[in-house]
Amino acid sequence: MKCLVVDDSATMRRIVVNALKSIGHTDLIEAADGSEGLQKCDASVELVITDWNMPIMGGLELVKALRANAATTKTPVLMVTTRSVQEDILQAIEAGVSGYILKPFTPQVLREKISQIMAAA
Amino acid sequence: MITMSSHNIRSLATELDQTMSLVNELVREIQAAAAAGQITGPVVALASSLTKRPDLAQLPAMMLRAYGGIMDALGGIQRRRETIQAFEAERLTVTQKQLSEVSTATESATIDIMDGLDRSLALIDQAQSQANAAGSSDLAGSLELLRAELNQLFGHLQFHDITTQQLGGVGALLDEIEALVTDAARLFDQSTDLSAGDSVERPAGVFNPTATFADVKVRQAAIDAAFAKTPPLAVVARA
Repeated sequence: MKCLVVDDSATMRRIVVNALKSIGHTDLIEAADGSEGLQKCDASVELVITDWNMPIMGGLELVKALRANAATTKTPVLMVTTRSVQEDILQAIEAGVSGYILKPFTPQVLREKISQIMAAA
Repeated sequence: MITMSSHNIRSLATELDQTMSLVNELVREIQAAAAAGQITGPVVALASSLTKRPDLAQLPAMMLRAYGGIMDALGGIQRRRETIQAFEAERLTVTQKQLSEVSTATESATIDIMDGLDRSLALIDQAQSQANAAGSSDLAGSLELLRAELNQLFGHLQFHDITTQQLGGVGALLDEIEALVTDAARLFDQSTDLSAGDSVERPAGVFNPTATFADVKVRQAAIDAAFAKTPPLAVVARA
């Protein structure tokens, strides 16, 4: 499964990539913000894992842009973030986020959430 | 803002003192002339009303005392402004830099640890291949457990991302305090350059000031419940 990891923190990208590899996902591409993620996300990408707080284009804007594009409108998006206030969650749901994981997370939580959203997709 | 010097105030007080002495002398002359029947009319009444007022000769001294009090107060404000400026220029700026250093140091340490973990995982891959080739399933199993442990350690390094966001929140708060302190100092003395120190560049929106390690499972459960209540795909389908 081709997976795009979007996070402005290089260390956080590395952690997500390591977690994905540890659960068997090896076809991975990375982007440092929402804008770069949008450029790299085409129909071949099967899952987007994105942070929320990023410069240039944040994760929420990325999701909205993906949903507005016919090629990526149904691409599952997993938000991995520290944001947990109710208003943020509702915004994420409204924007079309498929799943939501709070940092810090474990590879097990990542595996479960990916299974859930890929099953629903 | 003080526009009159202490010397000017004293000169003015001296002139006022001399003027008031002349006025008092004039009043006495008018009253003496009125008593002798030499003058009558409104000027006598005016002189009489002037004598009923507090001693006008005391006015210059009162003015000087008031001026001294005002100068003392302004001096206190000036010292307070200097204290605020020192606080703004030194402590806040130093604290900002310290926060930045903490973030940089932890990032560097995190990357070093990640490199070490990557090397360790590569060694486990190598050892596991050898164990498999030798048919040692026990060793291969142990190495798999070790790999899982290292992967868990990798995950724990998320502390860096969270603390960086928390430090970003603290830094932004310090930026606000610095701006408020600068504005307050300008109220006391607009002539002084109170530009903010070398502040740390902080692009908007790149951190969550409420980032926390606390109650992750409880908060995750609440999020899962919200997603279960309103399936995102239904929202997308409506759109």
